[in-house]
Formats: sequence, structure tokens, C-alpha cells
Amino acid sequence: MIKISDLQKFYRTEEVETIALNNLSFEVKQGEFVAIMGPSGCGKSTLLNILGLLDDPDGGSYLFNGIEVANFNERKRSDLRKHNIGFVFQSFNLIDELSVYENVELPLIYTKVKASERKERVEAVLDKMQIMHRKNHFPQQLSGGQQQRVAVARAVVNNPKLILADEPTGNLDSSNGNEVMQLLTELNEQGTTIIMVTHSEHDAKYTHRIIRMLDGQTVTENILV
Amino acid sequence: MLKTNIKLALRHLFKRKFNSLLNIVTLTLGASCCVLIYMYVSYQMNFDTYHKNTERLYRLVFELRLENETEYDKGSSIAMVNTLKSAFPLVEKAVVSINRQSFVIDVEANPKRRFREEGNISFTDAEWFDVFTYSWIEGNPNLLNRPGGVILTKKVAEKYFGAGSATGKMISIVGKQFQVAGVVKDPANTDMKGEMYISLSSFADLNPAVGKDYFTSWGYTMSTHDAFILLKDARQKKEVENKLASLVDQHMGAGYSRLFSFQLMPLKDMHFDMRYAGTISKSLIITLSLIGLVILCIAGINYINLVIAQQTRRSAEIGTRKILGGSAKQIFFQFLIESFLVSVIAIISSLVIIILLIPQINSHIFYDEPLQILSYSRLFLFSFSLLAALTLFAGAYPAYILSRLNVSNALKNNVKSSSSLTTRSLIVIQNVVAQVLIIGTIIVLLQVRFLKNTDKGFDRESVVMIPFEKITDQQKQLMNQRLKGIPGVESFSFCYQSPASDTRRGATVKYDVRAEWEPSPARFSIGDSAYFSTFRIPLKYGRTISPSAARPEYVINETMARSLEPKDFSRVVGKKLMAGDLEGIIVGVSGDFNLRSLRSPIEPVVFMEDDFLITNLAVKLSGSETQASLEQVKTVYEDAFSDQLFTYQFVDERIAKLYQRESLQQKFIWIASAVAIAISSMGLLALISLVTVHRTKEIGVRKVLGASVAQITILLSSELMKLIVVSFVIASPISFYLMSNWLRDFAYRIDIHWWVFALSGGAAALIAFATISFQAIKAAIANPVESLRSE
Ligand SMILES: Nc1ncnc2c1ncn2[C@@H]1O[C@H](COP(=O)(O)OP(=O)(O)OP(=O)(O)O)[C@@H](O)[C@H]1O
Ligand SMILES: [Mg+2]
Repeated sequence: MIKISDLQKFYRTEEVETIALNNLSFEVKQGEFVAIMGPSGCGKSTLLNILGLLDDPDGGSYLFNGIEVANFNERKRSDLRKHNIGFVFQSFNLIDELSVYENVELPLIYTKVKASERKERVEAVLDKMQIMHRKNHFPQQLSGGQQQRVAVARAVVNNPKLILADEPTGNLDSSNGNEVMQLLTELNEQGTTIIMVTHSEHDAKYTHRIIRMLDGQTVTENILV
Repeated sequence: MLKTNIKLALRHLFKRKFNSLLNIVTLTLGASCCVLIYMYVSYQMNFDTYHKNTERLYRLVFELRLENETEYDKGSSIAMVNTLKSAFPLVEKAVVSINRQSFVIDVEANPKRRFREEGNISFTDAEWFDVFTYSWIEGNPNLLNRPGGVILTKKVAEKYFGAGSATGKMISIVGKQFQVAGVVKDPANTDMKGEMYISLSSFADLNPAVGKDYFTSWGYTMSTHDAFILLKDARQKKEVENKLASLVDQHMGAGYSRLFSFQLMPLKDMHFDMRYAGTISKSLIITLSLIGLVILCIAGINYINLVIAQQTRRSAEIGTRKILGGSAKQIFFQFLIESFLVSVIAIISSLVIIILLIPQINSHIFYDEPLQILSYSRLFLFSFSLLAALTLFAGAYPAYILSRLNVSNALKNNVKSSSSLTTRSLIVIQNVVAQVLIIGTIIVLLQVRFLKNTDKGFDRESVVMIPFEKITDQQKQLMNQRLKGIPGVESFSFCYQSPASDTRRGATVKYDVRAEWEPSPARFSIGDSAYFSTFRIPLKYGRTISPSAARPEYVINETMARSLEPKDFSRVVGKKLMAGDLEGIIVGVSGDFNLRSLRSPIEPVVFMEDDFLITNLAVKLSGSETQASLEQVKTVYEDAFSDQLFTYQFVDERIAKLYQRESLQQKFIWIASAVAIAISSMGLLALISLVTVHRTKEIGVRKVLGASVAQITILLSSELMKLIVVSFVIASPISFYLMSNWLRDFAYRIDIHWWVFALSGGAAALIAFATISFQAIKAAIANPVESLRSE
């Protein structure tokens, strides 16, 4: 489903040039659950941003479902993104001014789903994430675990083929963290491909495969399953 | 989608109440200022536009082309109007109104009451009401074609007769009976000052002193004759003017059309042509509109600034939206809707404020010339375009910037704010405008005070003017004796007007044995021999005129004497002078004094006695018991004039009235600069509060490390204070240039001193510093534990 080869990304500031990704190559198959690990600053988030089409690489190739997307313009990327990719972040990134329900509904609005269908789908996914009773609350009124469950609900409401998660349990205690990992595992079992950045060996155990990075390059790949 | 966006926008506004409130208040202030200026400008622009014939109506004006200068005036002779009426096929109608300064009116009601009407009396005939559009409450103008008829406006009719019908009732003017033939509504926006229209054919009856040929001679060309012509076809204006020139040659003397050039001024220019007694110049209207626009711009700039400055707070949201599939276009519209809502609230509040406060604003600020709402629909249309402009310009720009944020940067909160170049230049622009307006306000204020309080060559102190219609020798003698007996009366003079008035009287003069008319005309000042002592005008040579001279005696001012006898101006004493058509002798030279306003320089002046024009008693009071002395003067006055009404006005107030136009400008620039300061202060306040929010953590860390409150306050304020200094440096030369230009219109003006700039710069810096440091100190004294935890 995803195949990157010789991917490069540089950050230029006034004084220094950082090589965030250095000829990175790997492949992720449909239905896989992959963890990306590595020390802070090795380029994990940068990689995820490129995989999620939020950022474009400075070199190399990125095939998404066999299509070269490395040189897509903003419009095409946004289009591809909103129909195929869901995101979960360490800091949840819920919109404070929107209720739980409205946060989850937002991706459906952007993909122009009809109102009646939206209601059905939002409620279904909230039910599944066991957060239905909080649907009229605002993010600040929820615990971290609940917030992350809303974020996951929002990531999956459009039935994306790929979920990208950047340290989804980073801000959660272990029990809430486990709950989220459980959710992701379930989603993966239902067929969603998941790529997750994590610092936790514990969380990594839920996945099929770990890609270890150092200074913008892959070092090893452990296959867990 | 739209509903969701509006709901969301409202939530954003509620969430950041402080910022939203500042945004709304500044936009409301800006919009109110614009609406106010719009009301004034549209009121002025719509003078006399409601007449059905406006497009084909012209006022008769003339240029008096003298060797050295050209005098402009309105008016004509009655004879000319009559000729235009009968002998001009191109002219559909011609009407004239003779304006009289003042009459005392007795109303035969029970009890009998007496009024003085001043400046609102017009002698005309029924055709006037055909040419101009009036709205009739009762009656018709036909009676004006015969002697003894009078038409009143509603205001005057109610004053005389109360609420009931006035038609058929009688009033008496100078003891003569007049019947009210009808009542018309008071037009809101007209330069036709008439409120009492009297039969033209009664004019001679009420003014026995006018010459026999007043109605037949072309020589009686006077500015008090307001003549209007309705052309059959507006394109034939030139033809009529040419024809008039040949008639002038025929009736006034060959070659006169070169001296007197009569022209047809379109009615729609009448209000704006300052040469011919216009009220307000187009350039002033443009300046006012520009000020309104500038105020709107800084309010808009302020809004842009705040929205952009808030972007750090919003960037995570924008990033998230983009990740979830929101396009730049959708985010753009979301922000635009927010701006739209803010603008709607601001516009509605400003309309409500203005409409509710109009009576207060009028009674406190525009008491001379109350503002009126001519048409609500047009006001709403204007507000609607304000709304569109605000949304489009102030809303679209930040929306565009925000919608273009890079997603991954936005998510990381990696967005520079408050100190971006755009924000800084916008702050500078805003403050430049505010400071230019402050400096302008100070200078206009000083100049208006100077105009109102400066007497050039005379002394207004404690002089009251008491009007009457005419005075006989007996009355004069009686009053002379008795006024002298009042200890509180220092001096008095029967005269036409005080110095520093709006008189335009004057004529060309012929001096001594010279055959030619002098190249410059002279103004006339009229009064008796005590005029000089009453107004403390010094005599340089010779003596004042004597009360009972066999032939006219003149005192001329020094300027005139010097132009007549450049070598030794004392030589004029004893020489002959032909002033207009009256030959007399120069008996003295007075010091120069400003006969008219300080807008014009001192002109040559001939002082003379002219019984026909003596309509005021000027009394110089002394001591502290002015009220008591005035009571005594009143008794004398009432004993002398049984048919008059005692009223008085201090010369002070009369002079202040001369500068109404400047006072009005002063008020507008005052309001504009207050609004500009308020807007830019609120802008600074909002910005500094955002800055402190961004830097809460930094402030906390610094305090933990030992920084003092003062150090942190300075740290937070210094960047913005630098911008205030930059604004001052830019604003000073701009305002110097603009205000020097404005001052150039006055013959007498103040100097622009450096301290004006220092004062306004200091004031602006102080206001800015107070605004900024309030927030900065609040942030600096906050508990660092709190601020560290909040991140
Ligand atoms: N916007 C940016 N500008 C400049 N340099 C950047 C930028 N974003 C990332 N970098 C640099 O690129 C490198 C990779 O950063 P990245 O955020 O991908 O690391 P990471 O592996 O996600 O680290 P962590 O585990 O701490 O989240 C780092 O050295 C970082 O300093
Ligand atoms: Mg990271």
C-alpha cells in the first residue's frame, strides 16, 4: 500500500541545515500494523507528516496504492488525504470550540457527506468508542483518555484505509494508553492499515512489525508476528 | 455548512470575550465616526436638491471686475429680474426675493405678543412658490401677488399662533397689517433662509426710505436680492448670459458688462460656491469624507492586526482542520464569516448608537447646525456598504493569511506572531493617523481660539449690540441724553455693525482731483462719531466725523491712506473723496482694524455716517454691574422705541458666530482624533494582551530566575513603544505640511510651534504606555507558578 524509496527531507534555517530524512526506504502492506521507533529527533514525525501528505519530501519517491504522490500539489494531496488517511496525535488536536459530536463530524463535512448520513455515522463511531454519552461535551471537559478516544473516532469516521498515529499514548497514563492501543488493534483487525510512532516498547508489542530509525535512516526492522 | 460556520464563529467570539469585545468596540467606534461624517456630508450634499426644477434652476451672480481684483457676489437688481421675466423667451420664469435683516412683529393674539425676526424675512411673490418646491400645510401663495399678504413656515406659525390654523390671522409689521395666506413646512435642507414671505408689493410700504426708482433702476444691484431663473432648456445658459451682458450695456451704460459680469450659477452649486455666499466648500466635504475613510481604515487595520496576531492561538485549529480535509478555501470562508459577524454587530451597534444619541450629539456638539437623518433608507444602504467594505477588506486579508498557513508548522504552533513585519507596519500606520489627527486638532483648536479672541486694532471688551429697525433724529437725541446719564455706560454709538462682522458693503472710490477711479475698492464701515471711542479704534490723524456736517465726512483707515498717499499718508486729511456715488471729505485717518473676519487681510476702509443703514446701538459697558446697566439701557430703549423689541448680543458672541465653519471643522477633527486614539489604544491593548499570553511561560521562567516587575514590564512594552516613536517621527512632517496648508487660508494665523508636536507626541506616548503597561504589569506581577503550570 505504501512504498517509499530514497525519501529525503531537509530543514534549512538561517544557520544550519538539518537532514531529517536521509534516503529512507521501506514498504507497508495493506492491513499491516507497523510501529516506528527511534530516539527523539531522528525524524519520525517528519516521516509521518510526509506519509500523511501534510508535507512534501525533498527527494525520493512515495507510492501510495501504486500512485506516485511525492509531487502532488496541495489540492490533490488534500483530496487524497481526506478520503484515505486518518490521523491521531499525541496532543489529540481536538478543536476546542467544537463539541465531541462536532469534532467527529468535521471530516464528514469536508468530504461532503449528507447530513442524515453524517448523524448515523458519527453516532455509530461514538458508540463504538464508548463515548456516546459525552457527545455534547467540549474537549476541555474530558479526560485525556476520553479526548484521545474522540480523536480516534474522528480519525476513523471516514473509514480511512490508513491511520497514522504519532505517539497516541504519549500523554496518557498506562490504563488509558492500553485502552487506546486496544482500539487501534481492533481497527487493524477490521482491515485498517496503521502506522504508529511510539517511544514505548510496551505499545510496540501490539503491532506486527517495528521499524527502527536513527538520524533519518532505518536501522533495523523487527518482525513481531 | 454555513450554519455550522456561523455557530462556530459565534463560539469563537464568546470564548475570547476580551478580544472580541475590543474588536467590536473599535469597529463600532470607527463605524460610528463614519456614519456621523456620512450624515453630515450627505446632509450638505443634498441642499436644495428636492426642488422639482433643480436641473433648470439658476441663481444670478456677478463678478465685479476691478483693475486689481475681482469681487464675487450674488444678487441682481429688481429691474433686471423684471426684464428677464418679460423680454426673454429662453427664460421660463424669473423670481426674486428681497432679504431684510430684521423686523419686529406684533401678533394680535390675546395677550398681544411681540417678536423679532432676524435673517429669515423674504419679500417675494407667488411665483416663488411655483419655481421652488414647498410642501403646503394650508392656504396658497396667491395673496402674495397683492400687498399685505404673508406666508409663514410651520415653525414661525406655531410660535405666533400655537398649534391651530394660522391662515386668515393677522400680524402687524411696523404697525402695518398683514394677513397670513398660508403655512408651509420648514424645509430641512435649503439655503433659502426665508421663514416669513411677505408680498413684494408691500416692500416700499415697509421700507419708506428706499428710493423711488428702486424697482426700475438697474443701478440697485444688491446682494440682498436673491434672484433665480428657471430656464426652458438648461443648455441655453450661455446664450442667456450673453444676452444679459448686452442688456447690462444697454441699461447701465456702455461697457458696463465688462465691469459687471452677470452669470447663471446652477442651483446645485449654490451651497458649495464659497465665492457667492456658499456654506461649505466641496474641498472641505472631500476632506471630511477622507477623514471618515481614514478612520474606517484604521479601525479595519486594527481588526486585521488582531486577527493575525491571534493566529498562534488558532494555528493548531487551522492545522487540524487541514488534516481532516478542510481546504484553504473552506478555512478562508470560516474566518470571513467570523469577520462578517463582528462587522454586523459593530455596524448595528453604531447605527443604534448614532440614531439614539443624535439629540445628545446635536445639543452638545452640533448645536449651531444640528445633524439630521435625511433618509433612513440611504443611511442603511451606506451602512450596508460599510459592512461589505469591512468584511471584504478587514476580513478577507487575515482570512487569506490564515488559510494559507503551512499545516505541519501550524500544528507545531510554529507561527510567528505579534512582531511580524505586517503587524508592526499596521501599528505604525494606525498611530501615524492618530498622531496626525492629534496635532491637527491642537492646531485647529489654537487657530479657532485665536480667530475668536483676537481683535486687530479694536477692542470688543464689554460691548453689546442692540438692534432696531430705524431711528429718527428725535429718538437719537433722546437716547443720547439719557444714555449719557447711566454711570455703567462708558460709551455708545449708533452704527451699522461692529468691527469683525460679515459685512460686504463697499464700492470703488475716486480720490481728490484724480480723474480715474482708484484701482482697489474700499469697504464701508458705518456709524456715528462715537464709533471710534466705543470700539477703542485709535485715530492717527485729523478728527472723527462731526454729527451734523453739511456734507458727508469720511474717516479712512491707515491702509487706505497709505495707498492713496504713499509718501505721507497724513496728506489725505482734508481731501475730497468720492465713495461710490457720494462725494465727501476726508476728515481723519484711523488705525487699521479688522472690519471683517481674520480670514481676510485688512482692506481699505471708509468710515461714514449713513442714517438709512444705522440699525444697531453699540454700548460699551464699564464696571461689574453689567446686568444692572443693561436694565437701565433697556428702559431708555423702550422709552425711545415703542414699536421695537429690546434684544442684545455681546460682540464676543457675534464674532464667535463668524467662525462657525472653523468651529465645525474643529469639532469634526476633534471627534476624529479622539476616535483614532481610542481605536489605536484598543489595538495596542489587545496586542499587548496577546503578547503577554504568548509569553506567559517565558515571563514565569524569567521571574523564577529573578527578574523584577519593572524589568518584565519594560521587556514587554519596549517593542511597542518603539513603534510609537517611529509613528511620531513619520506623523510630524505630514501634519506640519497638512496644517500649514490649512492655515494658509487665513490672513491672520498662528505659528506652528515645536511644542505642539512635543505635546501630541508626549500625549500619544503616554496614552500608549498607560495602555501597554497596564497589561504588562498585570502579567509581570502574576504568580510564576500559575503561569508555568498553564502551558
Ligand atoms: N520545522 C522544522 N524546522 C527545522 N528543523 C526541523 C523542523 N521540524 C523538524 N526539524 C528537525 O528535523 C529533525 C527531525 O524532527 P522530527 O520532529 O521528525 O523528530 P522526531 O523523531 O519526531 O522526534 P520526537 O521523538 O522528539 O518527536 C530534528 O532534528 C528537528 O530538529
Ligand atoms: Mg515527534
